[in-house]
Formats: sequence, C-alpha cells, structure tokens
Amino acid sequence: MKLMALIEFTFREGLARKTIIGFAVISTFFLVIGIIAALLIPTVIETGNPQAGVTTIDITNNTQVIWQVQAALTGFINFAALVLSIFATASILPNTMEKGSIDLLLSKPVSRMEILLGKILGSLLIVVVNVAYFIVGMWLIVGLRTGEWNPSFLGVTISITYTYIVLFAPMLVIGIASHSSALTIIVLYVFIFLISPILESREAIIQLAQSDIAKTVLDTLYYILPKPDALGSVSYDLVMHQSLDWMPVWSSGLFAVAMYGLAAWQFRRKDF
Amino acid sequence: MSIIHADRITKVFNPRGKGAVTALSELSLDVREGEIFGLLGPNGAGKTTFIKVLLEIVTATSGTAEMLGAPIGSAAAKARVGYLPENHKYPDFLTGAQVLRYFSKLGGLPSDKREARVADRLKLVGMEQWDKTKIRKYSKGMMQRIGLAQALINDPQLVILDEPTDGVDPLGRKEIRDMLQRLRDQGKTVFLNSHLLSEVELICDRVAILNKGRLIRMGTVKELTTQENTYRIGVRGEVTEELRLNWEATRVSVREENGELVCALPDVAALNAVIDQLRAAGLLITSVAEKRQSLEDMFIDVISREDAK
Ligand SMILES: Nc1ncnc2c1ncn2[C@@H]1O[C@H](COP(=O)(O)OP(=O)(O)O)[C@@H](O)[C@H]1O
Ligand SMILES: [Mg+2]
Repeated sequence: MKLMALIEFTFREGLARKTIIGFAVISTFFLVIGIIAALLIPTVIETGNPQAGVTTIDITNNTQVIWQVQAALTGFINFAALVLSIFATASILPNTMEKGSIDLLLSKPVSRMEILLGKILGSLLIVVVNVAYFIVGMWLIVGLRTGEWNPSFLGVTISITYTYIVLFAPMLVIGIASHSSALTIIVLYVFIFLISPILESREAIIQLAQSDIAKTVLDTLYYILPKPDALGSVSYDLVMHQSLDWMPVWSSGLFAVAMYGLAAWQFRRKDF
Repeated sequence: MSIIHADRITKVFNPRGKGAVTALSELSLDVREGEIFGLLGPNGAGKTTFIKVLLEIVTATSGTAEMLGAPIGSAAAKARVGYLPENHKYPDFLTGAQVLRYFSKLGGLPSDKREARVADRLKLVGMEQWDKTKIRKYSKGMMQRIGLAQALINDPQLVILDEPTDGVDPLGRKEIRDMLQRLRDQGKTVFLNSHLLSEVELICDRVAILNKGRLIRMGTVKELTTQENTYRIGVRGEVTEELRLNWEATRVSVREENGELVCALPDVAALNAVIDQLRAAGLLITSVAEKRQSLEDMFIDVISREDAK
C-alpha cells in the first residue's frame, strides 16, 4: 500500500510538472498528422511506365507494404519516445532527493528500497501510458484505413518500454550521484546520439584504424554498454515478423541489472 | 524509560576526503518519556545531524542508539515518530489536505481512519480553511503549521522538531509552544532543536548544549542557569592592579561590564569578602544586585569559554 502511494505520487508529480501533458500533446500532434496522412494518401497506387503498362498496387491487400510503413514509423517512434521519456523522467529522483523532502520521506516507516522502487515504477508508468497511447493510436489509424491489424506493431510498446527500462538504470546512477537532472539528460543524450551510433558502426572504424587495441576497446564497450540502436532494430524486426536478434536484448538487460544494483547500493548508503 | 538513548554517536562526513567534517563526536544522551527536551547549540553545532542519525537519514560513523525501545532506523521505531525537518519542502502541487493524506499513507495509518485524522490535524494547527489550497500558495508560517500537522498525523509517541519556530511570527510561536506543552500533557515526548534560547527556556524540561559536535552541558533549565551566583557590584573609583592580581590568585572571577563589576561567586560570604576588599582599596560601593543568568547568558558564557580552549 505504501508502494502504491509512492507510485501514485510519482505519477501525480509528472502530471503536475506538465511532463505527462507535454508528452501527450506531442503524441496527439503526431497522431493527428497520421490521421491526415491516412486520409490523403490513396490506398491504390499506380506504378510502372507507359511501355510496360501500368500496374496498380492495392495497399490494403499487401500486408508487406503496410508492415514496411509500420516499421518505418517504429524507427521514428523509438527515437521520439526515448528522447521524450528521458527528458520527462530525469528529474524524478533528483527532485525526490531535495533537502527537506527526502528527510521527510526517510523519516517514515518506508524502506529506502521501497522509495527507490516506487520512483522507478512511477517513472515507468508515466512512460508506458504515453508510449501505449501513441502506439495504439497509430495501430488504430493504420488498421482502420487498411484493414491490416498487425499485432506485432502493438508489441513495439514492449520493446520501447524495455529500452527505456534499460536506459533508466544509468539515469538513476547518475541522478543519485550528482543530484542533477540536467547532467543526467546530457549524459544520456550524448550516449544515445554519439556513443551508441559510433559503437554500432565500430566495424568500419576498426577497418579504418587498423588497430588491435581499437578493436578490443570498441568491441568491449559495445558488448558491455546498452544498445538502443540495436534494440530499435529489434522493434523493426518485430513489426516485419522477422526472426529477432536476442543478443542486444539480453546484453542490454545484463547492463541494466548491474546498474540497478549499483543504484540501489548508492541509494541505500547515501547520507542526505 | 528512555525514549531516545544515544551512546557515543560520532558522525564524520566525507571521512576520506580532504573536507572531512566531524559533525558529532561521542555524543551520548537520554531523553525521558513525557518530557520536552531541547538540543541547543550555535549554527553548525551538529543538532540537525543528530536528528538525522536518529532517523537514519545519515548513518552514524560509530556509536549506537535506540528510539522508543527499538534500534534506530527500524520501521517499528519510525512508525511511532513524527518529524518536522528544518527547511522542509512539501510537494507544492498538492493541497494541504492531500499532503497530510499522502504522509498518513506512508506512515501506515489505516485508510478508514484517514479522513477524520486529516481533518482533526488541520483543525489542530488552525489550517482548516486552507485544506483545499495548494501548498505553493502557503506562507512560511502556514508551511510550518502544515508541517506540524504532518508530524502529528500518525499520532506519534515521540515528536522530533528541527527549529520548529523558525520563520514563524511571535503569535504563531506562542501557539506552537502551547501546542508542544499540550502534547507533553498528553504524555508524548518532544525533542526539539533550536538556537532560539529564550523560547527553549520557556518550555523545555531539560536541555543539552552542543558545540562543535560535543555535548558540553546537560540538565534542567534551572540547573543550568543557577549553577553559579552572579552579582553585579556598582563601584566608584579605579580597580587597582593589586586587587586584580589578588582575585586572579584566589580564582575569583570578576570582570568589568558597563562600569559595573560582574562577579561569579559561590556564596554570599564570598560576595562580602569581595566588597570588603573593594572598600579596603578605597572604592565606594554604589549598588549590589544578584544577577540571575538567563539561558542565553549561560549559553554565551559556556560557548565562549569552550571556544577559547
Ligand atoms: N551532508 C553533509 N555533508 C557534509 N557536511 C555536512 C553535511 N551535513 C552537515 N554537515 C556539516 O556538519 C556540521 C553540523 O551541521 P548541522 O548538523 O546541520 O548543524 P546545526 O543543525 O547544529 O546547525 C556542519 O559543519 C555542516 O557543515
Ligand atoms: Mg540545523
């Protein structure tokens, strides 16, 4: 019951700080664009040239094309959802640790682990609600327009949430150590936009550098650190009904488990 | 029975860094059931740190403590404590009543008792008209009141208050003092931190004085303020060097203050001896008065003597 109170409080805080509303407004904006696009784009497309004769493709009968569209959308959603979720939830723990509020929380018969768990689950709730809203909305638009109800597209909610859970772990560690939501956001964005893409294209770099040390370093980093890009590809494969590459899933998961452990250890022994 | 029992509590912040700070050193004290206990000391003395150790907001470097018969930090102990932190912040997006509801949940108050309790505590602190107003619109004094209501929400056995009258107007201070005395009358124990000595004097049964993390005095206000008899002697004429040397040799404490001599003496006989010496030296006595030390005088005296060491 205390845990529920903590989760509810975290969600309310998200509402009060307008992060959830901001998130929802942006999602709604893109859903409206999706609706307009669905209305404007014809479902029957004519292709080919005059000599060969015109072939018409009816998208509604071509699930491959619809999946392609959904997969492309997935890439965009993955990107937008992560950027927004990190931004929306980076301040939750630093706010909790503010002088005068953490003292009060810790004086209650609630363990530090319960407090941390309440904050983690509260943040997760904020993200899941928003991501699910957007994905289900897009799924409805595509389904209503084309008659293709690809269930795998709904599964993207899970893969994006999973990526968020993985990235939230280092966010906690940085937040607890620095009390700074700005630093948390910066580090995460640098990781997602700079480090992760570099590691993703490490083969090319290794070929260029022609150095064994570079190879060892980059490979090690790649396998240790979480893989948001590769997890994005997992979402893509999911939508396209292709077989999934589980390596990024479990290796990112291992990283997350280690980071959650570290965060718990930090939070348990910290003086406030 | 001891409600708080602390045994040689030491707290060193950043022990390995260059900025190591010993906030508490070997602090031992007992707070008895049903008393108002005041922990006094200048800013930075370690008062807040002691409270934080009791609630495990910081972990003691060494030493042990018990609260309400349970080890500090245990849920059993915390469930029966109410706490008002210094510079407390409440979620400003909640109303006064919502804050109380939230903390009553965290404190484990059964839900069927919640609404009645929230209403009762709001009334107790005179905030019932403000229950539906967001905290962000509250003044400092109103925050302090809602803070007190929060500290009392789970009907605690022990109430710990860190600078409870800080930022409160004189009328509000009187109300807070009255409230603390009512709590004591109901058999609750109150532990408070303060640097406002004149107030503490009015309500505390016992006080401890902390300076630079060390306990330097503990006792009832009466014991601490009448340890020595102080007399003011008005004189006309110059105090000779010979007299001064004589006092120094016989360890009689005499100092000049606003043209009067202030003497700390064990009894009236010693006072008369000093008067005889003054007259023998040709000085005229214009007045003699017993000076009762206020807690504040004693405090300044003790701290400055301590710091001079
Ligand atoms: N979290 C902390 N880290 C480092 N030093 C601290 C911390 N909290 C308090 N201190 C230091 O401990 C000493 C005692 O502080 P405090 O207990 O707040 O004093 P008081 O409440 O009596 O004014 C001060 O020197 C303060 O700077
Ligand atoms: Mg203090």
